[in-house]
Amino acid sequence: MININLLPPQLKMRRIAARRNASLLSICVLLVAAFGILAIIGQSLKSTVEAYLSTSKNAIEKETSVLTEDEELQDLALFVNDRSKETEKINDERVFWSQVIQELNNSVPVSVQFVNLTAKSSKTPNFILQGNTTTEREIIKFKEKLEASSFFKDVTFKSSNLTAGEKDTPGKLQFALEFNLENKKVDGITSEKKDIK
Amino acid sequence: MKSKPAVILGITFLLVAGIVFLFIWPVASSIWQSWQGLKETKANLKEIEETKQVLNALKNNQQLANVGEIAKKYLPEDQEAGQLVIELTAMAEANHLKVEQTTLEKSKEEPKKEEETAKSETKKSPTPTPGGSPTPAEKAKTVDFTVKISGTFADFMNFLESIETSSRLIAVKDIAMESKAEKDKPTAFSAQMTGSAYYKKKVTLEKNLENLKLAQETLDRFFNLKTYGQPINLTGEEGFGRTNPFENY
Repeated sequence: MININLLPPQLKMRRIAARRNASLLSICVLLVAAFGILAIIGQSLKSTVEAYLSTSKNAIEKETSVLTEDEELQDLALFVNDRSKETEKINDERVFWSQVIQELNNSVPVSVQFVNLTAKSSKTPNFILQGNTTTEREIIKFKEKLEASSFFKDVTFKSSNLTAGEKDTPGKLQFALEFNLENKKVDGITSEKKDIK
Repeated sequence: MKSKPAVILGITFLLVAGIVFLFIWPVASSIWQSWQGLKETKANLKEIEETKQVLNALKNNQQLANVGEIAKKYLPEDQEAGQLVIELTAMAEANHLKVEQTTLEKSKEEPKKEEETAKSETKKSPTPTPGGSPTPAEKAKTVDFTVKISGTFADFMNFLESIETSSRLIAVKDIAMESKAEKDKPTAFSAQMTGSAYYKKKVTLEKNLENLKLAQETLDRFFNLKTYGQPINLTGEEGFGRTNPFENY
C-alpha cells in the first residue's frame, strides 16, 4: 500500500516535530518517574537498614553486659596464659643441671674421681673440673667421651700432676679440664634412670 | 520550535538532578554508612559469640581454678622471699642435706633483649607509650639466692631435681661442688649454689580472644611441672659412668 501525504511540507515538518517532542517528553517523564521511584525505594531501604543496625547494636550492648559478668573468669584465663608464656621464655634460657650433671656422671670413666667441679651457666668456661685418676689414658678417654656428648663442647685439657702415694698405695694423677655447655636440657626426657656403675 | 526538545531535556535534567541531590544522594550516603556500621556490628557480634563460646569452655573447665592456683604459686606476683628460703631449706632437709648458709640478694629485674630494644626505641622517640600497653618494667623479676649445703652427692642430685621440679619457678645459675677426703673418714661433699626465683607483678598479655583461650598444652605445663629436670635415659657404655664421681674409685 502506498502512503501519500498531501499536506504542505511546512505543516508536515511541524507534525513530525510534534510527534518527536511527544516521544521525548514521555521518555523524560518516565526517567523522572524512575528516579522518583528509586528515591522512594532508597528511603524505605534506609529505614530497614537503620532498624536492623539499631537491633544489632542493642544485641551487642546486651551481650557485652553479659560478658562483663564473667570478667573474673577472663582475668584468670589471661593470668594463666601470661604465666605460661613467661614460664616458657624462662625455661628456654634455664639450664637443667640435674640432666647435665647426670650426663657428666655417665661420661666419667670408672677410675676418675672429681675433687672440684664448678659449673657456671653464664660464664665461659662453663665447667672447671679438677680430679684424680690413675693414668693419662683415663683423662684422654674422659675428654673424648665429653666431646662425644651432645651436652658438652670445647673440652680443654688444662693440667696434670702426678703425686706420689703413701706406703702400699699407688700415686694419683691430678688433672684439670675446662669445657663448655652445648645443650641446656634434653628433649623427650624419660623418667627412667640409666643403670650406671 | 527547534528549542523545544532542548527545553524538555533541560527540565528533565534539572528534575533528575534535583531528585538525585535532594533525595537519592542523602539516602544513599546514609545507607552506605549504615551498611558499614552493620558490617562492623556483625563482626562484633561474631567476636562476642566466639568470646561466649570461649567463656563457656572456661566455665566448664573444672581445672581452671586449680591451674590458676598452681600458676600463682609457680610464678607469684610478689617476691615471697621468706617462703623461698623456707622451701629451699625444706627441700634440702627432705633430701638429707645440711644447709650451712642461705643468702638472699636484692631483687632485680631479669635483663631481657626486648627491654634493650625498648630502651633504644625510647631514645629514638621521646613520645610516651600509651596507657595500658605493657612496659618493660612489667617483666618477670628475680630474687637471687645462694645456698651452701653439705651431705652426699646422691642427695645433692636429688635436691637439684627437687629444685627443678619445685612448685616455684627457680633457675639454678652456678654450682660449685667439692669433696674433701679426710683420714679414716668418709669423703665429705659440699656444694654452693646460686640461683634465681622468679616473680611477676602484672599480667602483660593483651586482653583479646586469642589470649583468653586455654590450650591443653598450657594446662599440661602447670600440671606436669614434675617433668622438668627428670633424669635422662642415655645409653651406657662399658667402662664409663659413676653414681658418685666424687667418691674414690
